[in-house]
Amino acid sequence: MKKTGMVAAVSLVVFCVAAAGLGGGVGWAAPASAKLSCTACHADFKSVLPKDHAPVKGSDITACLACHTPGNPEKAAPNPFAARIHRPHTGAKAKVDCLLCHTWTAGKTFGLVKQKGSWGSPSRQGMESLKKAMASWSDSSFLDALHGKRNVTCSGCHAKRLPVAEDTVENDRCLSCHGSYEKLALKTASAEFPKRNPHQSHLVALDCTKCHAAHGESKSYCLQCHSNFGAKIPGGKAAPQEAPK
Amino acid sequence: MSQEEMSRKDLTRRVFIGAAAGIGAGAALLMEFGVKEAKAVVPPKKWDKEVGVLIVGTGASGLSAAIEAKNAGADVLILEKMPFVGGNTGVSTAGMNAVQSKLQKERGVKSWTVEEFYEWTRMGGDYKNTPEQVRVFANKSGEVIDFLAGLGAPFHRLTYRSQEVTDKWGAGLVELLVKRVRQLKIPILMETRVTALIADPTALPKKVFGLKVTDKKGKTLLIRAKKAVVLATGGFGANPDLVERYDPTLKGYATTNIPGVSTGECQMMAQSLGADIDGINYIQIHPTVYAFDGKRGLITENVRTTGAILVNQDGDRFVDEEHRRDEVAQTILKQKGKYAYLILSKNVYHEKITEYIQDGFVLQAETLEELAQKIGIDPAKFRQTIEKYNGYVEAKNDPDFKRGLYREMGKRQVFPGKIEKPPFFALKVTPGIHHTCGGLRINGKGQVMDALEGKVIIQKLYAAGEVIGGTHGTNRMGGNAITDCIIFGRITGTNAAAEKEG
Repeated sequence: MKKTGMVAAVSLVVFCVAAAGLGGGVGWAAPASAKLSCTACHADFKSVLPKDHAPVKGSDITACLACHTPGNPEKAAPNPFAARIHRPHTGAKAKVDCLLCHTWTAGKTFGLVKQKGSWGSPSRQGMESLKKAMASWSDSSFLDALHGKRNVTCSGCHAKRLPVAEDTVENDRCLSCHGSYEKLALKTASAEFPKRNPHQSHLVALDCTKCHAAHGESKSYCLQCHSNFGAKIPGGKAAPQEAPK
Repeated sequence: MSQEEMSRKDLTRRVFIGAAAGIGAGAALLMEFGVKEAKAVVPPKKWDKEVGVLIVGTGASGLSAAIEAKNAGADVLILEKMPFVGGNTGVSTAGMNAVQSKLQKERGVKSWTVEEFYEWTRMGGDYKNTPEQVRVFANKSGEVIDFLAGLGAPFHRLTYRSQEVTDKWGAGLVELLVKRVRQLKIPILMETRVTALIADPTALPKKVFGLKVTDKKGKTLLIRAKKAVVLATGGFGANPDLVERYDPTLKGYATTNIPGVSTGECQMMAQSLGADIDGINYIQIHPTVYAFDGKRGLITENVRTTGAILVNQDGDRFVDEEHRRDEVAQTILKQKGKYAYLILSKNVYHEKITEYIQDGFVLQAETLEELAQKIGIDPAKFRQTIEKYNGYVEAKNDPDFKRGLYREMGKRQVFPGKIEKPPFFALKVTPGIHHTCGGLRINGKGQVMDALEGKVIIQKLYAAGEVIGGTHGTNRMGGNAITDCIIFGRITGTNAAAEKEG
């Protein structure tokens, strides 16, 4: 995906600059060609919509945004439309460029086609790490994908702003959905070792992210000293390697 | 010119440059006392953060200091370098010694007198501890029980001297203190590491202004402490270089401390500024640590006070298992291979054993002979030793080692139970670095003293917990650390809050 994606991205940027010219344009305005519109793959939206969905006309994301108003809520909550639309399109094998739906001017803005507002200013490097994170979120075996399956998108953990590479997620953000440490401790209580609980240990108020990595393998911090500590951890195994086709 | 002289010359030169800059700005001469170097710095025009009382560390002493400083009306900020709260307090059993509390009286528990507790602590430290400090320690221990009870501590086990705060070991104590810290809305900056103490060494007395720190994201911050800095940073038992520096005989020992927690850098910064020290060479080794096959873990003293015995490779007992820590440790070191086995049975069992089984520290068997074979001891000899010991328990007299006599100040021996019901358990143990009994010298207010004068303080620098010396002398009695942390934590918190700003 990467090579094709990169080529597409670069050509789009080039086109974008050319199209916007020097008129103070902030980014890409519309898909470059039919190849890069939804209709290239979805001749008929009907096939990808639920049975009772009203008919959709159009050839790009704006057809959806009329009803599915875009937004990045401050609150940590599932965002089903954003999740549903991204999940099949941002996976490692999807080969869909971000700029089919998004506008981006490196280091300046990042938004949605024909929509006002910008959610961040990813650099070229930042954009690459966003793509990687989105690919992992779509179909890895890590914690990000587990959230993805529950319709939790970037803003669920990263709040309103577009995530940046050095972002970390504070405990309060996790606990706002997952409940208190005490509640989590009940889930991980062991009958065999009642006083050994990853959520109620001598490492009081340990940062969640020390064990639970979102875009990579999660590994219990306890193991650093207690090498026999056997608690299972979600997203704990490396993504299975795909056999080459 | 020796390296030492060179560095001194270099330092002087830098002080001079700094002084020129300082005079130019019309402010104090400030120096940074970092881990590796001390250097003059231009006083910052603007600090990144300003607080009243700045506390370093979130163990029992730091959290107690924070609670009292806040109660006294100060604006408090706590720094913690690790991604979790509690430091080594969290891995302690939080079994603490304290006497003459209101709670003991209320529950009708007979208590030792303050005098007995004072004498016991001084005796355990070979009278090298500072008498006035131990006096404060013994006098105020009962208040610690009442303070913690006020925070909601259940004290499910209360005895004449040794008290259990909660049924969740040290973690329970940390949770209790953190809960109050949160109620008081005292912020804790996590993963924030002190890189230098900012002080004016030319002031009379020397004066601390604040700290240079690196925050979670790697950003350097200058934090001003308008009232005072409180070092509640723990000892240096997790820093093998410092351990070897102050006691070369302890080179290569495993540590019971959490790696990375008690590494002593703030203590060294204070020493670099000129803080006096007390008993720094007295580093306690804990007698029973599992440190084999790449695994490591402390085997709590409670295993012995519950009734475990120690045998060597010849299958012999060799010490009063309940003797003071240094005595038991040194005796184990005299055995073949410098290790021994703790032996228990189903009826003489401590609940921590369950966890040690999970850790892979424990061998168990249905018969004494089978256990002996597993640990490579002659089965007949092993049985003979156990039966002899069980006879001593029956007779309440241990003619070989007088079990428990020292701990009970010569008044009685202690026999928790016979080793008789299967399964039988064995844990291989060797001594490990445990507690740095010495540290910064403080006065009765918790203020750090200047080494040069001995009777002069360093202004606005307080310390409490394992980072200080004076309470334990040569050897800390088991259960005295948490009490020491909370007593002096509270004292420093109250006094730091009473400082004038500036």
